[in-house]
Amino acid sequence: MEHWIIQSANALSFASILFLLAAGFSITFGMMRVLNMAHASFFFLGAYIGMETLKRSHNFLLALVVASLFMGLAGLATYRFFLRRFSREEEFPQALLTIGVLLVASEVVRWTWGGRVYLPSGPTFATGSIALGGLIFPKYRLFLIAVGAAVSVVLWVLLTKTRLGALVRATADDAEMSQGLGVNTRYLFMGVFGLGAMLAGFGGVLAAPVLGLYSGLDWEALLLAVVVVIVGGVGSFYGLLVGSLAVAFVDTFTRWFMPELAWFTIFLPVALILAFRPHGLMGKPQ
Amino acid sequence: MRTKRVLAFLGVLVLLLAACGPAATATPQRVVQTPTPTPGEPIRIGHLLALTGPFAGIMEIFNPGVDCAFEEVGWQVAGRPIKLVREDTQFKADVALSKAKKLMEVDKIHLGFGPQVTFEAQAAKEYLTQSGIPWITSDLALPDWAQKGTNIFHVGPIPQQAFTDDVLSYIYNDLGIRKAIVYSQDHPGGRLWSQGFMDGFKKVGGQIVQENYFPPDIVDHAVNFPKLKVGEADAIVTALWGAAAARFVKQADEYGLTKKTKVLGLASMVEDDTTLPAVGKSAVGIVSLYALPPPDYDNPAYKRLNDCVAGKIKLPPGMAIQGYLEARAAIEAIKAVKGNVEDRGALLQALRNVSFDSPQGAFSFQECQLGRRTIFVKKVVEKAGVVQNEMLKTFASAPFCP
Repeated sequence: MEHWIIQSANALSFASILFLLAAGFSITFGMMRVLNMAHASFFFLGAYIGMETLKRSHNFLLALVVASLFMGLAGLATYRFFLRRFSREEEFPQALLTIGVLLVASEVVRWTWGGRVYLPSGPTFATGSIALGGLIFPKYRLFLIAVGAAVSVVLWVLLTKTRLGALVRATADDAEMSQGLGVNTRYLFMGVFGLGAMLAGFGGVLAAPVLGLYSGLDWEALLLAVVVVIVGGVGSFYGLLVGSLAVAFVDTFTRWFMPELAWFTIFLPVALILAFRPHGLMGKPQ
Repeated sequence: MRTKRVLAFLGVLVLLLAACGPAATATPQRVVQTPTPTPGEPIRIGHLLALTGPFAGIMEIFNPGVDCAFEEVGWQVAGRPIKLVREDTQFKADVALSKAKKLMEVDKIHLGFGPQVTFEAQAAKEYLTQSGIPWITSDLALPDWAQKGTNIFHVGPIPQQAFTDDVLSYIYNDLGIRKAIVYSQDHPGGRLWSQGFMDGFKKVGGQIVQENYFPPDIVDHAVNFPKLKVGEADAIVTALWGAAAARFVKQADEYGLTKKTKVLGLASMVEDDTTLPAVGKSAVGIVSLYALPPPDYDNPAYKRLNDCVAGKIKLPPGMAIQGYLEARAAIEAIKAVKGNVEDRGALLQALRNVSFDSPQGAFSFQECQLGRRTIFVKKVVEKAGVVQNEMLKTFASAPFCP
């Protein structure tokens, strides 16, 4: 029984990482139809900036704030100077451009920090492990689960219960109509893109103590974000949530019971979903 | 419809990203000719390293070692300047092969170092061998990589050299490891080190309780911990490198695994210039065995290299020694041929005869062109707030030749 509890907690902490990683990617695509492959760069760069801030300040909260702000600004700049030139229908040019941004960011990181592995620490209060009976579980992973849950609630409220969320959804459905009603769609989209990038930077700092930082993490992160979005369904908040949980639980438990399948446990749900339910578990067929 | 198209695109992307792992490519049948020498012409040396990917952290540490060796001679040997061309093999077999071709056919190198990843070396071997250019590697586990009379030299050690009866008896008797769980990355290097350990360990009476192999880029070791039969074994014996090694050490500490059992790291799992800076105190207590000395090793050549490497990366040399040995062997051979690297036969013969005091003791190649190394058994300790390796015992490596 204790192994089931530990593995479920492992899966939940992995789901939190996946959720924080994929949230911005899903929102920018779902709301704005921008296929932002550079999302992984915001996650990756955010993690490194967080690590540098942490090294200098020894303050994890500050690292989170600095990295999120930097990545939010980077997101705004990417949208303002590059992506705004494309119409919403031009997904493939968007994807190619953002893959270019991903490659450039990858080289910038390699230049600046090299290929060395870094495993930054979490906040002081989440250092060490908790022992309950025979169970030992790292405090940081519990913290990660709590942050993932909190961010999902905040995002849900923001997108479904606020005027801003209603504006974003309305503009996503019919941008021309929103514009006619006086909404500045240009700034709205730029803001949503910046928010997505900020979430990625935030997620990068939080994931770094578990995943570590090393050359190539950006491509691995992109792969995970795409998998979550395919499984959950494009542009659906509930899809994002369900996708993160499904991928994390399937991966954790398959690797526990059938480690020999570990090479493709992440890809198995993708193949099944694309074959039998191409709009994802929670997405709407179009 | 558009969403479907995009999903299909994403699906293809997932497959492409997933397929970006190691892939072997057919080896071209080609012999490359080195041009005739021009007086004062630089000696061109190529260096293949996987500077991106999961082993990048280990690979980039070779560079300060190589640089320190060339700095000792002022980047000039026998009156000829040294020109070093580094290429990133990206942890991909096909890229390793194409970069080897580029070094030989475009850069016209006289001598090469690397590749240092086993599957990359396997993919490039036929091409490298047929080129005839002297190649020196240092971190491969392949038993038949270097062979007598060829142009391939290997600094080593390979598992068959490291796991001598003396080393394994020490593990069995002195460290008290009688039953072991093997926990390894599933790639040729991991498999070869694990197999080497298991073969020797069984010979001295040891018992393997369980074997575990998993993808090299595994994100979460914690998922694997519950299935490890820790209660039935004296130690977990690991063959791990790069980010996976760092994650294992940290997660084993966080989940209390290192409190329940011993961890013995094979090869370069917890070196002072790679994994230790990332994991810090989590590694305390881990024992490892490889051919690299600890930071307080009392040897003049080691101390010289320590000063040089620390000046560059602010860390003591661990894996940097591997790079140093490759470069130093090349320097000694070039000196022996008085800089005439265009005489490839003489250069190869000179390499076979090199002998020098290295940072880990006397170094020379055996007849099969595989280096003789000292094996260091080390333990990670915390001394005055600094986490570092400490020597437990040294052993001569086995005189293994394929």
